[in-house]
Amino acid sequence: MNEKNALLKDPMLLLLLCACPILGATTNVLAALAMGGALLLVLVLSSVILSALQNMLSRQAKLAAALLLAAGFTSVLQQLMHAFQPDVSSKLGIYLAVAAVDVMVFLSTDSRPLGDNLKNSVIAGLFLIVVLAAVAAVREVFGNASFAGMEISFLSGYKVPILMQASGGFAAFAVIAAVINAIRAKKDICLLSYADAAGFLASENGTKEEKS
Amino acid sequence: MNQKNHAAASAVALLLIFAVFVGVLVGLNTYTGPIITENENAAKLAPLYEILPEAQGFTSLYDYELPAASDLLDIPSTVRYIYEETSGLGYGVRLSTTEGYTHDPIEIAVVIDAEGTVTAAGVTSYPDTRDMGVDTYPLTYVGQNSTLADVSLVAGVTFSSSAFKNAVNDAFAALIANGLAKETVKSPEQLLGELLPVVFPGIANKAGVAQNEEGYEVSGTYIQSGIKALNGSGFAFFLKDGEENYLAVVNAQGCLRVYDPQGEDVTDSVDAAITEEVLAEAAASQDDFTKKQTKRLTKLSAEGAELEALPLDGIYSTVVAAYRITAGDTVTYGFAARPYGYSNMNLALYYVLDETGAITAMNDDDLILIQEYFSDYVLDESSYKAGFQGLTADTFTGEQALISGATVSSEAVTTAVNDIFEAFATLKDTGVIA
Repeated sequence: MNEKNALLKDPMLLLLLCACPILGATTNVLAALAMGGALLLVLVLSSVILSALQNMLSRQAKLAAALLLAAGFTSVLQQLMHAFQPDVSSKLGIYLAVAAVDVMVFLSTDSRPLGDNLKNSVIAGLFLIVVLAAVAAVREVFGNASFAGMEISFLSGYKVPILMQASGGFAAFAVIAAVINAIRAKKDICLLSYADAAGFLASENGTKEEKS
Repeated sequence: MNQKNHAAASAVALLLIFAVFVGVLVGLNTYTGPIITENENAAKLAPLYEILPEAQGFTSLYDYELPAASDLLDIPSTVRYIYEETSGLGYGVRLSTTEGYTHDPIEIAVVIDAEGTVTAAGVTSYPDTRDMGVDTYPLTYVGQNSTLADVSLVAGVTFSSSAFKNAVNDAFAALIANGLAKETVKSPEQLLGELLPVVFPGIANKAGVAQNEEGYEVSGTYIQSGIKALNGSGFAFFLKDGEENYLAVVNAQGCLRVYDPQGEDVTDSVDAAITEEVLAEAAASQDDFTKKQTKRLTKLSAEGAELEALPLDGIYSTVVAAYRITAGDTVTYGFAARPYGYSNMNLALYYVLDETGAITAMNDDDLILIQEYFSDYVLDESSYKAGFQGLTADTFTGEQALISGATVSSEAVTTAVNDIFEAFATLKDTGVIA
């Protein structure tokens, strides 16, 4: 897989997936980083266990296992956050639990070595953090005239309050997705179909065009 | 591995994953459960520790989510939690009120000791657009007893500061009702001050605060202080005759009532000199709106209509004038009302009712005050006014007075219309209107 273009083929930005955590956790940069970090951890752990059990599981069972693992690890993480980081937990609210389903998008169900799965999970998780942080930065800076809770005084008279609401969150996400898509189109990285986007981490050699 | 074995292995793997997570989550819940409960309790107590840092701990006495589990009774709806501070510093009460300007919850924390004195107060959440001084205003309550006699409202933010005061009153009420704090007897002056908006609603805004015309001051032999209603609805005078304290209210037509601190009408029993002094002061200071009122009401009636002023005895609302309007064989009744609108400025509204009490016409000076502020309101004036025609006390619901985007004006119009219907009914009961 060509990691350089992985962001440009990220299913979150191409298929507009994972909108729920983006909507819920990006009113504040710190909350976005917390959500991204949590999802990265869940992704990595789920990926490791799934790889360890891949020989036991049939292709169909891998999907069920992926869901069980994602939901299980998210529940454990949520319980631990609730107990030891209640402030962060209250910022993320129900969106951490909802994100368990989103993690499934990135889990590979193909038979691949543990190292490959781990690498892909880390890359996907890091991109998730980048996208969440980017959306949160736009929303918080222009919507609330602050960054990570710190006030930006010269912007306080130019707030765009709608960015702090659900519609603003979607708008910010859409803008970032549009920018990435524009860059992708400019670099002439074509996808045969949305299936390519969804399976970019699962495929071993990237798209057919990229191969050639 | 053949297909059958693979399927069996998959099932075992899935069951194993499930079983492991069940075990982990059960164990985790056993370990983190008490920690989470402690965190939740700490979150509930955080506002109390913020205003009373020296507190050693709090024991829960009342939780609004579990009222049956508490021994306390008669808890006002604004009270959310009541705690007893463990080292004897008093009782912490957390309240939530929606009586503020935006009707969004204002969260308040207050600590009251067993002697019935406020030892700490603070605001934990304040959604209103106008700042009443959330960091400083609560501090004015520290040292106050249950009468809150020395606490004043914040000028220009009367709704929210009044909501705060009422909430603290509720905290006292909850503790006093359950014998946890001592009640201080209110002074006669304070009782009379609280009586004023009850006996003269027209002088007070929607928050129940009497609005005084700026710069009006008065004193006399018996008059200690006075309020000239900002909307021209009349006067209130606080009187002292020897050891006795009284409240005198005079409406725009000069009709007088005198009350004692217990709320009893003592008009006929007080010294005549008192009533003379009060009526003289009111007559000398009352603004005259007669010319404008008659002009507006005549315009709503037929050409050449004759207006005869009616007495407003016993009417202490926003209605400032009533007239019998005779045009040929037709007799109708005109009313002028001056309810408080945005920022305690008053509207001037005029209604004509037929002999059955149904509205036949409506007019106004200005429905929307400070139009540059209310840029989002939607109002077709002619349709709006026509919408009142035919309405009676039974059919008026308030919805007919609604102006989209101008809630305060809508509420003012509703108040005026209700007051006019009530005034009509009073005049009919007293025989002034046949």
